[in-house]
Amino acid sequence: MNYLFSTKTVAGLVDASVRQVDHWVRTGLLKPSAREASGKGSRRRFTFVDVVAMKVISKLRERGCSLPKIREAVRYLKKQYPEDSDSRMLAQLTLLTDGKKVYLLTDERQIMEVLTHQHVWSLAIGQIITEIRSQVEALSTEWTETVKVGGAAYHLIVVRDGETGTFTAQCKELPGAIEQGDTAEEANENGKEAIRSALAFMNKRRTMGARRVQAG
Amino acid sequence: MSRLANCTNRPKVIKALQRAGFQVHAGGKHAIITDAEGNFLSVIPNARQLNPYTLKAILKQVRLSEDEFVKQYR
Repeated sequence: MNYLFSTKTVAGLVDASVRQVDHWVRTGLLKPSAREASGKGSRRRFTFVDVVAMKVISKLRERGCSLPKIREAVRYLKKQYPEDSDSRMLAQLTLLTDGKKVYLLTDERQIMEVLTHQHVWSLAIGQIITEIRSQVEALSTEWTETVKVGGAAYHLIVVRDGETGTFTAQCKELPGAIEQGDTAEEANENGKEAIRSALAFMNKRRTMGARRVQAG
Repeated sequence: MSRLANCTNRPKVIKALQRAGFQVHAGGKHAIITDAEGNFLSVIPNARQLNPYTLKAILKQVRLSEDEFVKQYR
């Protein structure tokens, strides 16, 4: 379960709009653990734990909790568990909400208020995790890996086919180098071999192939 | 994707590409597709069944339409 998710994918998974997710991140409610965006054009990357935390926020919103209240709760939790990252914290705790306020169910099975009294809904995190996991399994995801071949760095675009669960790797710099595998690691290794094969072939031929491939 | 999902047998894929006018060079770990002049186009993974996404990427790389490919595949 070490895929990385884009903002768009996350939004789809947690039933929120891209703008909502973007807003939550921009206003510092939750940070993407894998990679943060900076400037123009760089992309955020979320981990699975982030997605679960996002889902928690989304569910709280669904039940009528206002964003300032959620923010307040997250701030409080941060103070209580300073060693945990935001996402891990939200993904591990059981939170309760009555639609106005957020409550925390502590390990001692007591209801400790995060803000004030009364409780109604509980968010079963375990259930959320299972739910998202099965959604993720069915997802066709795509990400980029950097590999070294003969001292040079290449980028492999890895696509996971949601239907069969197998992987395809294609080199960004050498789009003719295409490979596949039953696992992401296998696709990676095969991708490297494909780059080697492609380079060897082009070197042998000394054709204009390289330029043509880049133009394609 | 379902159309390509039925056309993933590697030897048959290679035959289809040859019929469509590409050259396929067997060699080392991968077969390699070139155009008629021998310019490098793409690598064909060494697996009996190709992943539909892999196949799609290859077709895009050699600029062969899916329709044309399916027609040649038999």
